[in-house]
Amino acid sequence: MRRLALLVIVATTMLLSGCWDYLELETLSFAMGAGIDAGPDDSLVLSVETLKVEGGQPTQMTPYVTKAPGLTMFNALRNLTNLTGKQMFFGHSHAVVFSEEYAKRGVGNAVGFMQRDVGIRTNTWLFVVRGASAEDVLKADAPLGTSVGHYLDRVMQVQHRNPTSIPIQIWEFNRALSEEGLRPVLPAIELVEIDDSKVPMVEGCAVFKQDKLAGWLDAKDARILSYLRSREVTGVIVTELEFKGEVKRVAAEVTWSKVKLEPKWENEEVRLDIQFNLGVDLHEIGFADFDYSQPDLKRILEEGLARQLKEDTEHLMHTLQKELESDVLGLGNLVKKKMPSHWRKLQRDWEREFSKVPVTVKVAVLMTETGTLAKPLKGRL
Amino acid sequence: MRPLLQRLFGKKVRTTAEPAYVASTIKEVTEHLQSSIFVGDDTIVYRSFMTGDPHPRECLLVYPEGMTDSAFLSEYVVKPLSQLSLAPGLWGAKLSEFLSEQALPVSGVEERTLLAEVVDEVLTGDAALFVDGCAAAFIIRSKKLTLRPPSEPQSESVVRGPREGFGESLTVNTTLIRRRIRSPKLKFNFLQLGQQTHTKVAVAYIEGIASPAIVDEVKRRIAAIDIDGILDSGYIEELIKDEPLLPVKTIGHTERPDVVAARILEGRVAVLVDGSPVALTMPFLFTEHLQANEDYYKHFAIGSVDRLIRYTCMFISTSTPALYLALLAYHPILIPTHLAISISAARQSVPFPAVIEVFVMGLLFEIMREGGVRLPTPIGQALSIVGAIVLGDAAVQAQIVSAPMIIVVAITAISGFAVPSFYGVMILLRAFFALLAAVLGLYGYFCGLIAATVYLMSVRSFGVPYMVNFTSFDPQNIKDTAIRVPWWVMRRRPQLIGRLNPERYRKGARP
Amino acid sequence: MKEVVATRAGIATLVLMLMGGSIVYGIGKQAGADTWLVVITAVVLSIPFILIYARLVDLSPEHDVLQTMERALGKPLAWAVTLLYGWYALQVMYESVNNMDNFIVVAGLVETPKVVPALVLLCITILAAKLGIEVLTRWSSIFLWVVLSTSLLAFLFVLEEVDLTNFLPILYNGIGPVAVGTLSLMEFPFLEAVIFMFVGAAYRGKGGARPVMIGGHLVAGATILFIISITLAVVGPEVYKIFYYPVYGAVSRIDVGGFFTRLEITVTFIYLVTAFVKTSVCLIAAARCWSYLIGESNYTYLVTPLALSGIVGTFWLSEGTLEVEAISLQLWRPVELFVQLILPVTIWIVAEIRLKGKKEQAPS
Repeated sequence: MRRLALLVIVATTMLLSGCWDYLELETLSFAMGAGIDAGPDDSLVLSVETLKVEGGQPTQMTPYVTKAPGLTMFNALRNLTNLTGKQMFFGHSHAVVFSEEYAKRGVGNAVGFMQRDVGIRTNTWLFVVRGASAEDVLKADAPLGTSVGHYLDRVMQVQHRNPTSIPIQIWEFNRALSEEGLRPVLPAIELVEIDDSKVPMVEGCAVFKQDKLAGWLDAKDARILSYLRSREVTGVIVTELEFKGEVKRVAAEVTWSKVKLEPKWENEEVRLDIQFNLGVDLHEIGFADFDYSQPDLKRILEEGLARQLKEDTEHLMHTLQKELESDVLGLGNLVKKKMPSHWRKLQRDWEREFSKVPVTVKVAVLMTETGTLAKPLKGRL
Repeated sequence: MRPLLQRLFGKKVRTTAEPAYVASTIKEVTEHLQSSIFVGDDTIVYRSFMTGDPHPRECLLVYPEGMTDSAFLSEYVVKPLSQLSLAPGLWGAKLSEFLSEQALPVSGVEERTLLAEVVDEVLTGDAALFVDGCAAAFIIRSKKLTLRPPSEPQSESVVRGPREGFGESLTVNTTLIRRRIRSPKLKFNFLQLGQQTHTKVAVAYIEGIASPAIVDEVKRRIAAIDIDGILDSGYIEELIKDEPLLPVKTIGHTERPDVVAARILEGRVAVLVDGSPVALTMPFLFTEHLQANEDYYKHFAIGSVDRLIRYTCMFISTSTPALYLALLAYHPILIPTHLAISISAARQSVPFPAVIEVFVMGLLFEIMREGGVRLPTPIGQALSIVGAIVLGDAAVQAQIVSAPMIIVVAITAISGFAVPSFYGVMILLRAFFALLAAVLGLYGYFCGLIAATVYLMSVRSFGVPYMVNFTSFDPQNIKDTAIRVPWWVMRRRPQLIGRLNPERYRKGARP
Repeated sequence: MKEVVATRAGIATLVLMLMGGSIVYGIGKQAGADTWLVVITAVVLSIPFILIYARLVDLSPEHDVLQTMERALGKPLAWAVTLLYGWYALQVMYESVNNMDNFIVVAGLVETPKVVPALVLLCITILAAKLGIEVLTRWSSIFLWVVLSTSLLAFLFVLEEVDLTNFLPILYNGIGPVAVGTLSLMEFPFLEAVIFMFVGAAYRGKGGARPVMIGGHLVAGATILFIISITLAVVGPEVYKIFYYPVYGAVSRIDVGGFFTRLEITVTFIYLVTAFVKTSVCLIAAARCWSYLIGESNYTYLVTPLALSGIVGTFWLSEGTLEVEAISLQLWRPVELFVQLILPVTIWIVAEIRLKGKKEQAPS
């Protein structure tokens, strides 16, 4: 009897006092993406792309963008709730875009907020838009799919097939911020006009110093940087080859790869050895009489691809060391892990040291498959 | 049998106020029966006749109308006796010896001197013969009960397996078991229960396999029953089960003799009750909810898949409403994006909050089930049409209920029917989980799950832990739970139940 | 009054109890990248003490620890020691409920008053404590598998995020942080096994309490090492230091094909199960100690009042997650050092000497 009484008391307390976190799904407005623009006096403007959901068959979903100013991101978010009358739900949002100006002021506060709040996925992709406002990106036309947020998510998922940038999620950015000897980068977005519609294209990288935007990398450099950071080469390598006085293009897809970044301590200074080992499948070849089944011709092909990768890597290293002076490669982190005693001395002025590090690039390419053709198609007269 | 039982339990099974003995004259007997015992009972037939010349003596046959084969009595009792001439000096013990051993050409004549015993026999459908001058009654086995023929039980139909089911007669039911286990070690102990109904109850087990402690415990608990009537084995179940206050099933019940035989062979004890086609088996473990006799008749792999499906169904049926509610109202972040959006769209114009929807729709379904369960099949079909079309389709069309909710209710219901013996408990668990999920989301659901499992863990059925198959690390205990291993692997009987004789087969039984 | 418990069920309970709380908190975070090393040293250094606990339980098989202490120390001293352990078990219970509560409020139920999840947890704990340690151990022997397979599954999905260079450089900040981390890890969770002495279980297996204590300790150590190492390898030492709940953060990273996402809920589940076992064990131990103190043989009467005192206790303990870390580092250290290390060793030495004498006297 006493037990029953206790049960009744507990049950009624719980039921009468209500269900605090209870929410109705239909009262939420699903955010698909967010954009942050710089406002006056260190404030910001938050734009959120949401879906207008209507029942019926099939379900009608139309994306629309609302925006509200705020002193901080959280403040702006709550202001937005007042504006729409619906709780903004970020559980299914996949993309957050910073404007160039806002990124220059520093994104640390906003990213920290997103990491801290359990309602926001830490695997949300982050972007910096170049030459337009974040709001414009959200209002742009997504080529496929319903919303820009969803479109950007899809683009990031397939990045490894043809890297033009480095996909970065909130937690990765935070990790780069907190680790020693590693500068954060974020993928860059440009609005490109295709047939009257403006499409957000992900190309290149924004390079950060601390949490502030410091410079840009173009798509070509960003591609190599993504190889070095993920220790993996993916996508297609295109190169020009000279054969019998003709110059034609060759394209090959990388099937397996191994990238080694090895810091070495020689003559009282750090050197960096970069070693690529990759296997490729030949996909396209411009020459009609290039018989790649012969070992020396095959070697010419492999060396051509290797040279391309080597040149691109050296170009990237030049940009990083001489123009940006920014260790987005994580070399400092590597030095700390592999040579902690030297790092203690180097860490004080690492960025300057970094720009002086001699770099050696070695590339070894092995071609294993050539599709269904044993020899190129012959263009006989 | 009675002295034996009295010795066993140290207690009289049935007590009479004062032991009355059969009188020696027919007149007195008739007087006594008609005016004090069977007063106002018109079903009792008093058929008096005379033995043959030269010294006719009065005889009286007493039997209940309709329960006795009266043609048999005329042919084999009245006819030979009326042609028999009894010597005038034949009285008392000599007379009874003569009658039972020589005069009556029927088997199974027993002599009774206690009147109460005679009455008892008459009420079960046998005839009592009184002969003038003999202070005893002769019980003539002439029962003729019209019985339902053993048919396939509707509640436990199988695709493959025997089609026989228990009937209402205890003797027939015991033979159904005996026919399957022709071993002298199969024991049936009878006892009588119910002050008014005098219902016969049989405790069946195999000596040498069943644990004597469990058999004794069963008998002790049954003997402790003191009730006026037993109309079905359900009475006994409720009076002897462990955890009487909670709806957890700790005693199994079945209408199938093959199931009872299988359980007895594992070392369990069965209790059969006269007048009830439902046999009880004990101890009952949690896994038995999920076992079906057909699992053992099919290929073991297919039987195992069925088992796993039943386990899944149990989970789905108890948890789906709670999980739906928790995900929808507390963790929409866990629902895949497109699903979340389409549920949100479906709920746009539904006026009720999800909690109300879950509870009302759950209740509505149970109402439909309860409404239809005792209806004849044709009307039952009409009911399901009304339920499906009116409540399901129309409610969604009118946007009173959201379509996902209908799907949840349907999945819950269908999965529930896969585990019929757990159904009642599942309704309660479902409501309990849903309530906690409504207040605290998945955290509440997990807490409910822990509470339910901890509680189940503490239950014992006749001393055997209810969940022993899940907690044990011994492979012998687990092999017949989530899967059904082949017979030759199941060499041992369940531990703690059939420990006395653990080996089912010798080694090397594998074909 | 002891309840007979199977050895493996006892191990399972101890494993879940030691995992309670410790697997979500970033334990040993003082050592940064060396946290894995800290776990190993803490496990190894704890072993002698665990053996002492087991020895105390086994010292006289027919008595429980409280009676053994009474025989060894004499009534007044045993009373004082029991009071200390009764209080300590309650404190650990409050702490466990409080940590769980903070986690729930941070990780999901943001607007729910803290008292509600605590009340629900305490309710199921009361149920378990009333049903006894034997039921709890059998329950644990199932749920250990559930917990282990769930965590294995969750961590299988993060395996591709693992970066083993996060363990480097070894001992970058010297031996100091490792020592501090080891000490704090011994206090929480490994030597909290001291409470397990008081649950009043008699073990069915051959070796008595020793295989249970050592087995549970090592399995728990291995599990914690596995989870902590993978977390560290996924999030990196710097982020590991920042997060309250790094394991939660590591698992939240899972995204397999857009469908297996947000698996943090498995962390909530594992945390709840382990915290439940820990709270229940503490409650049983506390109720046994307190019932000894008031001379009541049936401890179940004390379960409900002691558990409900947890409602008050948790609020007294800390105002929120922010305070939890500070408290567990400052206030607790000397107390735990005394209760977990000094006192058991002293009791053990005294008991070995005095009870040996008693045993020899008994036959003569």
